Amino acid sequence: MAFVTMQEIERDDPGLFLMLEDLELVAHGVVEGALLGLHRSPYLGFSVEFEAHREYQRGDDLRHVNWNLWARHDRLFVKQYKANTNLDLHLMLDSTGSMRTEHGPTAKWRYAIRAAAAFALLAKRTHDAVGVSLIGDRIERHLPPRTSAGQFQDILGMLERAEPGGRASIGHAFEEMLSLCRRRGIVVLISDLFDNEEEISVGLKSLQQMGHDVIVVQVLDPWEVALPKGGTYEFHDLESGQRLRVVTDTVADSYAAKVRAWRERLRDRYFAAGIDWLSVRTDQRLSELLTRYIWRRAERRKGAGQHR
Amino acid sequence: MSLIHPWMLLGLGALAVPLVIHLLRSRRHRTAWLGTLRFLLEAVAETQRWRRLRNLLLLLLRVSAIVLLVLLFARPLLERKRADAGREAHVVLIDSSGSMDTRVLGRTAFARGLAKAKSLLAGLPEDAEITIAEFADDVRAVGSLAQLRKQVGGRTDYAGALDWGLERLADSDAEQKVLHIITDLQAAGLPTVARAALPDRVRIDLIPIHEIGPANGAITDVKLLNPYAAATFAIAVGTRFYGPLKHDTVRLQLELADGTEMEQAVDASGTTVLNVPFSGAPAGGRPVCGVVRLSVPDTYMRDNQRHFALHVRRTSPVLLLDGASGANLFEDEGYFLCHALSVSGLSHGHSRFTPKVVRQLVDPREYAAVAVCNVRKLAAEQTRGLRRYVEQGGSLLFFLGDRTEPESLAAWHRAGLLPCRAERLPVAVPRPIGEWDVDHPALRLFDGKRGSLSGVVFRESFKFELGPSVRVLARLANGAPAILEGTVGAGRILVYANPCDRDWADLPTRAIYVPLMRELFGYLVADTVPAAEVRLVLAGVHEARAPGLYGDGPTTVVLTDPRETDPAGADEEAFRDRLGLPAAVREPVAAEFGPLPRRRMRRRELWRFLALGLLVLSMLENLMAERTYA
Repeated sequence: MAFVTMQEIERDDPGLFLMLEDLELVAHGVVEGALLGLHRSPYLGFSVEFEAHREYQRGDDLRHVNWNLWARHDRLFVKQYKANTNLDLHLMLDSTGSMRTEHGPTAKWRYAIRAAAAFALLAKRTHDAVGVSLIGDRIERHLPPRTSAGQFQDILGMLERAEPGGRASIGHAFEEMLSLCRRRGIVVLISDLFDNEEEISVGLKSLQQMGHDVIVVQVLDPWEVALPKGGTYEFHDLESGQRLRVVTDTVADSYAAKVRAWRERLRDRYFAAGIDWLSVRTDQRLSELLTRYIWRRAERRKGAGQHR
Repeated sequence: MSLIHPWMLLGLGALAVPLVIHLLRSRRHRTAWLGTLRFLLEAVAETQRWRRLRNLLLLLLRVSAIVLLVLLFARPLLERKRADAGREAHVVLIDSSGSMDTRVLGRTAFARGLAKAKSLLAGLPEDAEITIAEFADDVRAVGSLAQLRKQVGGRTDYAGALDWGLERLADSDAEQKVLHIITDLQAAGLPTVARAALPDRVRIDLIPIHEIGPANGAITDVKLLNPYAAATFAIAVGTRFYGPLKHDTVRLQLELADGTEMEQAVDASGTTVLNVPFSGAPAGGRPVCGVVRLSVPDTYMRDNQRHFALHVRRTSPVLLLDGASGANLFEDEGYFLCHALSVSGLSHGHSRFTPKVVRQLVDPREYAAVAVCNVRKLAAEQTRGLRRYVEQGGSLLFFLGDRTEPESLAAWHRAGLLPCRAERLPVAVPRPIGEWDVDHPALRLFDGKRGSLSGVVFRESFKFELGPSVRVLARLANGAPAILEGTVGAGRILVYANPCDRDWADLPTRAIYVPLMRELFGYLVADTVPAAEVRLVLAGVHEARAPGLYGDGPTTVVLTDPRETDPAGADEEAFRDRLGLPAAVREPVAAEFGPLPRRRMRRRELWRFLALGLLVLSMLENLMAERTYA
């Protein structure tokens, strides 16, 4: 009998994979799928980083000799690595009403909590402390970062029980978040970012100023990126309840252009601020998201090491 | 502007269709949820003005398309006044001959000609003198196109139609005169000799309908081969084929009114006369009616069938009492007479008589006429029998000769068989017939043109005492009666004062003998078989009925004119040459026709522009709809 692994399902049929309800199963599938696609392990990037060179001393491992320096200076130097301490991974999950949009294989909310579960599992694997905050117009629920054995299960339980709703006011949520994330770590914001751009940007910069590495994962519904064509639609705003009836063919191009411009504006703004930025649609594979995150994270830490 | 079909404006009710579609389209929608309507509101605000304008334009285009379509069917006319207007006279001649019934793609040439006439009339000025007429074998003026015959037919007479039109125009005092001829240019309708060139001042506007087919098969004639038949008669069907047909042989079907059907294959090349024999003769003098059909695929179907009503007469039995047997057959008294009444070479089948030669008198009641040929004498009983026979309507013809005894003459006179007293002369002197009564039915044929009795020689051997009841049909050169007539009761008696063989004269060897004998006997048996009247009428301008049989009163057969079967068409130049028409010109040349035609009102149909507009609108609508909805 042939067994089909979760990563194979995620690779071959992302739609079916996204419909699975078991968060832990999905998280394992995503992480394994992401790691399976990497040609070399990115784990080293989290735990062992190049620190400095020093003079060779008797007993040093010859594998760490920098032969390039020997060729230039005729002296032996060995590379010195820094053993990282555990990180705090703060997962900020947008739980406002707009996350209920569902026109792809799954709702934005389901996509977001699966991504959060995957991040949590990845952190667990690297022995990082991971915590989750559900944000709306304030911090709705919060689970502080821990490295305990049951933390991952607690996170999954909280995500499973949560229901999105209400209007967003992420500015207020960030104010509360600053007091909860005192230890330096990585903050991952998973949201559609439909709230006030300035407030979000200020909040993220505040986190950066506290020494956090900030990663923004924007989750959008396919219809939020490009409107369907061929008919008259009455669109409802999930947060405000506002309604608008349009013939989508007449506005689709303009709408898509505006959304594209908005996303590019956000990307440029976050890139300029040194914030990692990922924008995904709910019909995209989760493992792709995680893979991109891992490599970008590794490059960022590598770059930071070189500049250190 | 006016409309040819104003009632078509009712179609404007269809304007509701795009409006309803427009409204329904905006009402039907699907519901969807988005995280934010921010971008959508911005996009809508940006495109709203143009979108509304585009929807409005789309609705306008659709409404305009329907209005144009309705106007297109209503056929509007544009009338424009011209300052330098003058009066015009137009004669519109529309060919309604049989060949205009040629049908191509389900539409006859006449229908196409009618459409052209409508278009032509629509463009003529309102104050012009307009004469509309149809022509075929004759010309018939009509008040409007609606009064034209529904059933075209008749031979084409272009010359007659042209003369008629020119006469009408000659009576007009208009400055400009135009004769319009709408025709299929059938060559068979042209005069055999080219006409002299027409006088100028009349413009000939030839409007050809090129519908005449290249090939045609036709039934041109149906006739009896033997109109006098004892038991069997034969019908001859004449067929004619023009041009290359698809098949070498075609089927010819003959169907009689009594249901009898016959069929033969006909070689479809050249002229063919097909003899279709069948047995039986109608009783009571009714004509043999039926139809012959030719199954040939051509465009002129009218001549592919021909109805007929043929009168078939029974032959009249004639009894010839031979009073002078010869040494051989040829010397018998009735030999020549018998053959004259029955056998006549090529026209054997046309003989009206069935003669029977006897030596002894038999009961004459079965016979239409009895000839007593140089009989010596009759028994008293036979004489009385003949008397009764004549009194009851029988006919009797005496041929007096050398064997006729004076006693017999006296006895016959006493019995009333001879219309007057007669005596035998001692010397028989040969004398030619000097005069004869051409008004008498028996001698009407010998009117000097078709025949003459002047060469007939008699021997004067009898002397007659003429009474008031005796009519002399012919006299000898000296005035002596040669042929006499009398009546007894309802019967007729002729006396031919010579024998009917070659004893006294050589008449049987001369050509006049057969017609003379046949005419005499024909007169005697004339009323024994009354003929039913059959009228043959050729379809034409004055015959509105379609070809066929019409049995009200005398049987009438309306026939297609066989002269219309030739499908050959003439080109326009040859047509003009033969009729003496001036060469075709697009616009009248001033030197030939005077100044250009001037019209007070120029009426122009706008359907071409409407159709073009409709096409442009539909393209715009398609483009706009694609940009709006696709």
